[in-house]
Amino acid sequence: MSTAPVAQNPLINAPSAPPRRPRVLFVGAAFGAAASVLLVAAELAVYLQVRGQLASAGDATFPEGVVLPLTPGSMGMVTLAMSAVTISWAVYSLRNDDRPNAYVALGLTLLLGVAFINSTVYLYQQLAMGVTASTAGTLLYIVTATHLLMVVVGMLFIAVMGFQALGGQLTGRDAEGMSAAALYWFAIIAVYVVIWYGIYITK
Amino acid sequence: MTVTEDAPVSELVAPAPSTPASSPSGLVAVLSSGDHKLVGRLWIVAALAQLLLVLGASLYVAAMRLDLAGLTKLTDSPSDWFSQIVTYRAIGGTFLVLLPITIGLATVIVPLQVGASTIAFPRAAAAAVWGYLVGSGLVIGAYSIDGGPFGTSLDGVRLFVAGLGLVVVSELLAWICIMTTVVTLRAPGMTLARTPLFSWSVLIAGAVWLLTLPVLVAMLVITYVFVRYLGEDSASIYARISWVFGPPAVYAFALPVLGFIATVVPVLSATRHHLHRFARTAIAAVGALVIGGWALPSFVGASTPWLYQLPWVAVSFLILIPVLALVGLWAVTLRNGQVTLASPLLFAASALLMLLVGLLAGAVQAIEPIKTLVDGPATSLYGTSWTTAVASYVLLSLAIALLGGITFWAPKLIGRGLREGAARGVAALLLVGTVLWSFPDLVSGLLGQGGDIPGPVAENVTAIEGLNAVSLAGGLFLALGFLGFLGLVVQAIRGHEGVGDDPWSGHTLEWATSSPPPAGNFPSLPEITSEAPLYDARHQEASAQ
Amino acid sequence: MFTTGSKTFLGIGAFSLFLAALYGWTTGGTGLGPVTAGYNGGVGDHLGYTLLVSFGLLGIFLGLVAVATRDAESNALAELAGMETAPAEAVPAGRAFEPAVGAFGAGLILLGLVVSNVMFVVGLFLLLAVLIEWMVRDWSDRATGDPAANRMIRNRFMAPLEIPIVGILIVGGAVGAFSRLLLTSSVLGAVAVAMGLGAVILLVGILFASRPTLSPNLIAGVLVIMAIGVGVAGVGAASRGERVTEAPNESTNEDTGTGNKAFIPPGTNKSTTTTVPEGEG
Repeated sequence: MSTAPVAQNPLINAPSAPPRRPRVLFVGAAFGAAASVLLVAAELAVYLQVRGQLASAGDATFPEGVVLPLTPGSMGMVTLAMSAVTISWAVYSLRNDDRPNAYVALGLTLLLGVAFINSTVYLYQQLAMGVTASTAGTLLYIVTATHLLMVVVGMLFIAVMGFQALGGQLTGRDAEGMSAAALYWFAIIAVYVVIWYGIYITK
Repeated sequence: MTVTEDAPVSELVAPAPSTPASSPSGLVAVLSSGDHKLVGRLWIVAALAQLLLVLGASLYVAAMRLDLAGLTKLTDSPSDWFSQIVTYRAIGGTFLVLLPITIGLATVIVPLQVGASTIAFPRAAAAAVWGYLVGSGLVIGAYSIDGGPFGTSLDGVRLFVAGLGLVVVSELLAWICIMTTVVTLRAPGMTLARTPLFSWSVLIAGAVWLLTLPVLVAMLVITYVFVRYLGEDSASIYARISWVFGPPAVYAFALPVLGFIATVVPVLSATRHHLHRFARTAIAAVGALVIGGWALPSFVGASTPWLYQLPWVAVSFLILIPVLALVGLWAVTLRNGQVTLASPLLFAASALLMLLVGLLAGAVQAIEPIKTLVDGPATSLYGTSWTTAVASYVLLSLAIALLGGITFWAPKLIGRGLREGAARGVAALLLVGTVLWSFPDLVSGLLGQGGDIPGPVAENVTAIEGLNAVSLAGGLFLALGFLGFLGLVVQAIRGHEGVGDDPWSGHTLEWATSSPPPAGNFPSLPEITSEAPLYDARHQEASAQ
Repeated sequence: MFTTGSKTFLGIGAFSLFLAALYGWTTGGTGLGPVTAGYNGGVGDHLGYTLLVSFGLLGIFLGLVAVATRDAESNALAELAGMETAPAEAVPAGRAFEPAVGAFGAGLILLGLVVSNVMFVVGLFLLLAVLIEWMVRDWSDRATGDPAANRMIRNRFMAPLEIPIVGILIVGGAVGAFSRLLLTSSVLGAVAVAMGLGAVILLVGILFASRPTLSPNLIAGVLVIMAIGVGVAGVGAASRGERVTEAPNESTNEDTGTGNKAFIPPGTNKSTTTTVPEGEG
């Protein structure tokens, strides 16, 4: 058994951590969100061009027998709209050091994220279209799958910030990390509004 | 922190290292560091090593163009490795060499210039350089197994697209770190308006790449899926990404050139930048004009709907206005001060000259009535080797500016200065090399030679082949210049002569710390009341005496 | 209110939107389509138009972020942190191998996409492990103001997870690899392989016992060489993959006046003679 003096343990008398510089993660998340949004937007642009050319040639967008269902897409929209409320709730609670509420809100947001992924997978099932069925079909999968990837990244971001909150950080003024995650999450929702309108509604 | 209060007693008596772990050195330090200076140097070293490969490929391409008939036979044959090497030259030269050196230089210099102790998200910045290294390894590996664009190995082609995707995403991540540094980590007193112009140009370049690289990634994702699932031809890869090498997207590479010149000119004429605020606006205006992801070929069918349309033509001409305005400001700055004709200024002048020629040639190319001078049906200049020459002028202008930047900031990068006389020689070699390399392509474009991959030429064959020989000679000059520069850097690193903290009498904060800077960058910062805090401090001292 | 940064980003956004409208009309847009995103007429070429509108909206978004954060000027940050001067960003302390390992994991995933599912899954797990390590490090780095204490907190949290998992992986990997080797050898060969491997294990054990503190640089060097080896092996495996059996279709080359391949607009020409891999399709 070591007889090292107690005073040598760095955990004793360790100074508290200096405050974080504000805005760094928030601004970085804004840039990251812009890049992610543009990635989906560029893929969507190609999809719209292909669809437009098929339409002007008088052809259908998808192969015969394939119908793009609206309900799962709309369900996804409702799910994400609800998650916008829960993530705002989480940010507000953390800022006011109301941690139980923050944990509930974060859990709900992640749950809604999973529900959204589920609704998209259900849409793929309803669609019952092979990946190689047509150019537009392949592009539809590319756009929606990239958006799903964005959702997964957003959920990981929220989970990482949630871990920090559980570990006693992100308190009061220092809670900006969650605002950054929320900003990214809102970007995800904004992109989905465009996908929902541009792909599922206008067809 | 509650951990300190609640720690169980049994743990408190356990032996624990109270001294910080010894700072790592060697390979471990390189692999595990989050220090922006080391990360930036890693970018530069890795990219300079790849420069040798790209240089070899460029000289090979130039040499092959000496015999156009033989070349056409080669490009028509099933094993067309010439086209692959051409694409490697373009993609490698930009995404594996020039952009990484730009990022590396910015990673080292920008935090110093804005007075920050670190880059924003230092670990992410490190991840970016490792991602670039792994990705470029995949790209080169893919080429080595016949998988580049126009390659025949399906797995190799997919590997190429995936590897290039990783490179581009890593570069995007690096830009986000650098931009966030400029926006959020500036020292007290340094408003965004007082940001040094190199950092400002890097911020604008970052914004432009932020709005360009995702489009490229999207094209790569789509190409990957189409090659993988729809059996698309590997030739489509290059067609989907080569818009980056054409105007206006290619001009985005030139933004840091403007920032470099705007830094060097006031320092080496020992005066303030004339109308700093106006210069800032002009650089931002260039940025707005060069977000070029929209000018890409249609996805379906063979069309480029933007070609010779008003937006494309307007952008090609409008870009001259802010750049010429900047030239005017620099001329006034030089006239206001006492000019020291040191090597960075020669690099700056060469880069500016080449950039101007490139932009002018780009504007000429945008005039639809100007056609090739051939007897048969004349075609437009766009798509001939004129277009390639525009890209080479702009990209080589960036290369000259980057080497100039490394020369100028060598004390901060490696803690030593480069030999002044030899550096001037390199600048001259690069200028001559760029002119000889690019100008013949302008003329041969007029005579009807195809762009990157010259197809069959019906007439003027002898003249074009002669011009291509001149171009090859220019390539040799460039190679000599680049190799000489590498030798200079190696010599400086191996030398023992120290260099002062501020050998150029610089204006901005990177010169307020030691060479090379310590961990944490600044022991203390001077007061910042303008865009040139060190210049202010020197003049206050002078007037006090 | 409008700071330098916001004016810049808003300007870039506004210019892109202006260019979008111009682009719409010059590429066949009709009526008010180009200014109403197609609500009231055609927008012209969808691809370039959508991209330009995206640039415009994202420029405006970044401009609004700049307004909201007041360009993150240091006095604004100080006010936000409730201090006299804005706190400096922490300089990264100590070693962190997550970035390098993460990049390697990403490379494995991409190689795995092309070469083998095993590589893909290993890369995915590696990336997941890096994410968890990174998350804990980011948290522990801010636990106290003392790097040594933070390192201790991190180790207390992660070592009980890391040591068993890494141990299982090393033993499991070795056993798996040995069984593969033994299965592919003949009866006598298997005996030889078993003896050879035993000798190797013994040698490595002796080495570790005699030099308990190996240089970290040596270990890192061996690991880097192994990582490069995995990459080279992966590329080698890809080189034995499927190939185009006939010449690539060059017919599109003749369509362009200059004979310039570089600017051939891509077509979705499916008549090219490529072999489509079987699989998820």
